[in-house]
Amino acid sequence: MTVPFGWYLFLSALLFVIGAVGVLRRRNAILLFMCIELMLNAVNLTFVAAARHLGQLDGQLFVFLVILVAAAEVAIGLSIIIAIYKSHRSVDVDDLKLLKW
Amino acid sequence: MTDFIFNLFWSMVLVGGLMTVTRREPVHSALWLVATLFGLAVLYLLMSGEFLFAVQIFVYAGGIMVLYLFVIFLVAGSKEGEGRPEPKLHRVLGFVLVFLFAPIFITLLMGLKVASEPEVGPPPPAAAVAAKNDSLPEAIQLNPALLGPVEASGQKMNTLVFGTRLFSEYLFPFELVSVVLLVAMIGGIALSRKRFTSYSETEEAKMLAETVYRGVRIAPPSGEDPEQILQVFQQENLERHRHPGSDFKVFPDYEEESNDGSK
Amino acid sequence: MTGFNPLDYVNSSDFLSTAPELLLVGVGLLILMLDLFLPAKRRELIVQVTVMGLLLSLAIVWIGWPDSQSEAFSGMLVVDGYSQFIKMVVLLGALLVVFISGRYLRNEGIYVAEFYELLLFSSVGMMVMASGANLLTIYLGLELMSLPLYVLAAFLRANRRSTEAGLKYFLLGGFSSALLLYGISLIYGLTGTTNLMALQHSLASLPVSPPLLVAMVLLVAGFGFKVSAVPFHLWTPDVYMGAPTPVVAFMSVGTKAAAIAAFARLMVVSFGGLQSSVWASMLIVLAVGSMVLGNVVAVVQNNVKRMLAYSAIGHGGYLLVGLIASMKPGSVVGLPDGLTSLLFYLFGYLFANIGAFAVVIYLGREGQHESYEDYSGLAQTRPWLAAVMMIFLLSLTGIPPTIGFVGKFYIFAAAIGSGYTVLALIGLLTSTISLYYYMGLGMYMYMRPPVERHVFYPTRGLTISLIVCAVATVLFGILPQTWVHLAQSGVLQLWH
Repeated sequence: MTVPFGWYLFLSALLFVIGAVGVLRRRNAILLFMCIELMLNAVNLTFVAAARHLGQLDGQLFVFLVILVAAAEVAIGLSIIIAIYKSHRSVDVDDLKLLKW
Repeated sequence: MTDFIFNLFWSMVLVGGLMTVTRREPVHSALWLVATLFGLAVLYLLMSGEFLFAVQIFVYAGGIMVLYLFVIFLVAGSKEGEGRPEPKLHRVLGFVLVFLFAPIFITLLMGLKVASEPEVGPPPPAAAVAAKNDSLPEAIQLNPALLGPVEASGQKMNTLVFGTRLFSEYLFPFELVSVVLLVAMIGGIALSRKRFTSYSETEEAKMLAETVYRGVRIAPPSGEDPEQILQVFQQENLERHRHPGSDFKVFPDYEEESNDGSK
Repeated sequence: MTGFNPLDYVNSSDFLSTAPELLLVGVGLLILMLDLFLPAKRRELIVQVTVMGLLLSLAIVWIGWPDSQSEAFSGMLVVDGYSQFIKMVVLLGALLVVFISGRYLRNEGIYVAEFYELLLFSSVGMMVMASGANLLTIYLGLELMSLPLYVLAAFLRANRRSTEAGLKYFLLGGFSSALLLYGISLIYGLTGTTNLMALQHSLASLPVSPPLLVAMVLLVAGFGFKVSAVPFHLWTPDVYMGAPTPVVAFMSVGTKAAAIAAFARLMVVSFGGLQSSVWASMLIVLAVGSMVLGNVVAVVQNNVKRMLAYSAIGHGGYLLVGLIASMKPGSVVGLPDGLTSLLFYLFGYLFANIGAFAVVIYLGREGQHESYEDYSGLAQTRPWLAAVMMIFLLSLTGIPPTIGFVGKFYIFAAAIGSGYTVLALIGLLTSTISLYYYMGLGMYMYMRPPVERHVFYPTRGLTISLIVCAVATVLFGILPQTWVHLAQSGVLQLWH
């Protein structure tokens, strides 16, 4: 219970940056998507830490809703990725050349 | 003990995140992501988010990640950047981002810690409920009597309060999320269902024939079987989608007649 | 535990004030059922039900036009003239898109009920964003708006361009909404609330600290993506080119309207205080970048859909000018003129832009007949179609007597009124550039000999929507007063 608020924020900022850099660096669509998940989780950590710090519950409620939205996003994202795989036989964004990426 | 657990899972989240981003094999990344998510769940527990702890494990680790692994196996063999050297620009951009952007960003954020007050525990329960009630419209103020013994003791924000708040103050967002989930279902089905039209084969054929004739504004040529024309049309429709670059003509046989009466 | 009943916490006025949204959700569910039970022959009914639902929702918005601001669902939503105006734009856009999409969907072999369901749910998301009075509701509305659009962009599953557009839109959209959400979490951490009114009180005394600055940048990035403002525009040309044309028409108007509406509300209601100068300087960069880049790059395009995409970036810039004009330098209270002009501009953009995309659908199937050459001599083969397209192009350029002229006039006037003369001048200059490429297409239609053949895909729905768009573009260009007053009274309600 003595863990300072700052450590959580530090971790979430690190995690967010790791995810963001991953999105910019990786080429596999599934991995890109996982990096976005990482960013969303960093956000969730900030919310929970802030809620704890403020002595509120609201932050945790946000996180609950964000997790549900993320689940919906995953369902749609993965079906788009499967559609891409069916039409291109690849999920590497560098192989998607019809539109300038 | 708490400190030890905190240190352990704090590091686990960080290492897991790094490994997720750097592993070459998507499966490895996914497994590291599971570790990260689990570590986060424990951190939530440390911050008295028991319900979130459970949701994180069930929904994320249990549901979402299984879906990921399933898709990864489905598209197995599609490796990243096979035989292709990484573009120089990407590498440079990556380094610039990591070494410049990240520290700046984190330093800026650390301002939060400086700006905020020192760590305080949650206020005593009665005061907390009263403070909360002040900020709420009268209709949805919390009833301290309903909050249960755990909340009342001021130690934990428990699942009961979570549920009470979710279905009173946060009712609308909750219902909105249900629509979002419905959309996810419809979208997933729409993108993967087998036959992609609500019509039967013959109805579709009729309509396509009509389209062809109306599209180029010519009467069906006498002596020619509409069904046959239609087959050509459908075949070409298919081809066109498969090779979008190819120069597909809508109806090659009748091209010269099709300038819509301008002759 | 006994005694807790969720229904104790809502009352009938909550449901009444969200009736347009609830109705659309209901219609979406109804279509879902109809799709299962209707025999194939009666499938037309699905389109009719969609149209009826949208019309009814529009009627509810119109009849229940509020005189003052009211809250719903414990402050999660507000209903005021401002939100209703945006809802009207969204609903009209969805209605026109249903009309232009019928034959298109059949031609491309994607004539399914899912299209209409997703369209309806996306509209609901946009309407929630317009009404959102809490960052949480705004975020959820944004996701509800975007998720169906990701699917719709990839709806031509067999077409590689379409699936690529879907993936690109999805990945960049997910990235940007994560940025936005991080911004929201920081704001929450700093102030302890996400309610816009409560934020106003907390932020009024808060100096611009580094974390707040980061949060603001992240919010701008998240919304900038949806408005396709430079430098967050990279997805726009490709998605506009690859996604099915009716979807693009819907997206170009609805997404912009909803995102800028929510952003403007956040800006004016919550960040009206100490932060407005920081906001203004950030937004000026975005606005100038969008106006210049969008219009300049559009000049070198040879594909009509791609040209319209770059011009959409430019129009995003003009909308941002309207938003900036609502923040007077050094003044704490916002100015209504900027937002009024923004609303009216959206209203005009709706007709001209959807009309232009309707012509694209009229003239070719997906991925063909989209180049300028395919429009050669249209004035000879289809005089009225060329004339109608010309009206839309004139309106997009901003030439009288079209609605686009009035919109641009109000925006630049508001900008000058708040002291952003240079911004207005840049806007004028870039409008002149846009004249070049819009009229370039006009030249093809009127000055060139016809190509050896045109293939047309006329339908009743397309004709109706073309007529409606053209009439509205000209009529409201001459008589804009009703709508300007409506927008103005709505904007004034923002400040109570």
